[in-house]
Amino acid sequence: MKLPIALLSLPLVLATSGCVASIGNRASDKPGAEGAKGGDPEDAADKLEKKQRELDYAKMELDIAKMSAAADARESDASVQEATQKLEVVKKDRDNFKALEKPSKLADKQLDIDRAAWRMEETRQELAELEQMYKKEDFAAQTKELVLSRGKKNLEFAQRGLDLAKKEQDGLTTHDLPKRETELDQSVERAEKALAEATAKKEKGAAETKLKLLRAEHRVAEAQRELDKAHAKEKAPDKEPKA
Amino acid sequence: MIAALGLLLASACGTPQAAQDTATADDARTSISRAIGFLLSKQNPDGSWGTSTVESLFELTYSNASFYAWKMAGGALCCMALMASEETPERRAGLEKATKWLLEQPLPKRGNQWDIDNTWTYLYGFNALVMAAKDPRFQGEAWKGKVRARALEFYAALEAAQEPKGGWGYYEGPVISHRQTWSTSFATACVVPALVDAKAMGWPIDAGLVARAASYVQQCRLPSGAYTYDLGPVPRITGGEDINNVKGSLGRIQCGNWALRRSGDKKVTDETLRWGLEQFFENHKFLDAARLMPVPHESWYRNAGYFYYFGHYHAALVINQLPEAERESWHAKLRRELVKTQWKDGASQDFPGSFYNTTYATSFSILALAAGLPGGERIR
Repeated sequence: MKLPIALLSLPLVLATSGCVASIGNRASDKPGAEGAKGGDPEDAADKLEKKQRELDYAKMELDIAKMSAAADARESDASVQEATQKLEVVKKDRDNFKALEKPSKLADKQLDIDRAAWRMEETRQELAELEQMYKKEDFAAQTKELVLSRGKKNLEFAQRGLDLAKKEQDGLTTHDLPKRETELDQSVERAEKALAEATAKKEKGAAETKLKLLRAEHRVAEAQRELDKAHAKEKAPDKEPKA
Repeated sequence: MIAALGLLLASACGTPQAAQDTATADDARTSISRAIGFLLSKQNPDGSWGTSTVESLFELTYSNASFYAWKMAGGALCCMALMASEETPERRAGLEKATKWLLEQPLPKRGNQWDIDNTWTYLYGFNALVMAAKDPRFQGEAWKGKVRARALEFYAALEAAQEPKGGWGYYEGPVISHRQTWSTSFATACVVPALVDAKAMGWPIDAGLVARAASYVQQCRLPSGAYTYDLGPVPRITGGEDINNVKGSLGRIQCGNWALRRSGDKKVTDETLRWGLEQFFENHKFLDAARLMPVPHESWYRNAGYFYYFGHYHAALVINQLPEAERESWHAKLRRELVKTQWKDGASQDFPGSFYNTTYATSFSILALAAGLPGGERIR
């Protein structure tokens, strides 16, 4: 933002100085201008006006520098705050995973295994009872075989269900959960680094801003001094009006 | 305002009757007369009742074939009710028309892969014709052979359907097969005494089939005295309000005890029968609460509306197994529960649905009331 303002103000400065030069040239064209003590009064007034403008510019530049400094400070504060919040979120995710999610998933899978094991036991008991009931009499052999074949298949499916639940538990404990835990740890590390980076940038930015402000203040002070000197020279006792 | 209206209706319709604990034999005769009048007024010209199609939105899920099956099963119960009631020329004519229809119409077939409600026709067709075979009105040449032949057709259907564990059911079990693979205690029990009687009459009844059926019912009996709904390899009670609790088994207890007693099971003593009846009356509120509820098993202890008259009919049969001296006091209590639920037109109903629901309910009520009148001991 600062560069475009400077570029925009350049033609104005050039135009103004050109105009001043032109006026000066015109003044020196006047007869009797040369040789007067203390120079031409109009020329002195121009010089004062120029010093005043330089002081005004310096003050404006100081204001701009102050505003830029405030904007930079807000930006770096926001960056640090955002990085802090991100770190808090990933830390909470990780802590929640370790304290609740991981044990809950392990317990849930264990419950699946227990249920599958009990279902298999129930199916086994029922099939055994059914076989005992059907053994009592030689009757309806074909239908009995159909029913028993369903019972045997159910037992087989229950066994496969239990095996599958055990495999899933194995995958969960040896792969899924450790992978997730590592990912969460890495997220926390990344967030911690991002926060440190944002904090360092903030500190660097603050130093740079301080320097810019000092320079702008100094330029104002210098312009003020130049103006004061010019005023003093204008009011000096040896500057007598022309006879 | 609604509460006040309910109170007004209760006082206008039910309170005087509800205030009594018992009903008399005259109450029973009046009720039977009105119920028979209703049935005869609704009998079709061909001797049947109702239609072969669904007449209620509550029953849209059943197979089309089941409505013919229920029409015939309901007709068989109407025959039993007419046989059980005192004879008049009009009743006799209605009975003969109904029996002729039962003898001549084709046997229903299974409806679809799960709905095998045609079993009810085999069960009650057989029951009705065994009753007819013992009835003096059907001993003539015109009837006797036909009754026996048709009864044995129903028997053959039962023999072909009996599931490996020995029972009969009305929905398919774990396997879709020609022979059933799921049964219930009460569907099985309801036919056991007729099988015993048919065997005693010298009909070609397989003793193994009867023993298997009785054994099925025995195995359904829990240590609590309740009967499980169906026989699984391992009995299940899934909670405090399970259907296999005594309070969910009030009708099945009567039917099961009656069947086992009539099959000669010595473990079912008079004391067993009395205990069952005591439970029936003590917990009768659960049957009252379920009556006419449209969703099966939605009431307490999974009681369904259609447990009501089935349970009362079998309670009457149990009472008739007790010593004669104590029967009347039980019948008097039972009558009250039947009379109080009769509609103004003479019909009875415990489940909203097609017309067969009215024919079975009204017939069960007539049979239960008739069993408690002089000469009712033949209904056993």
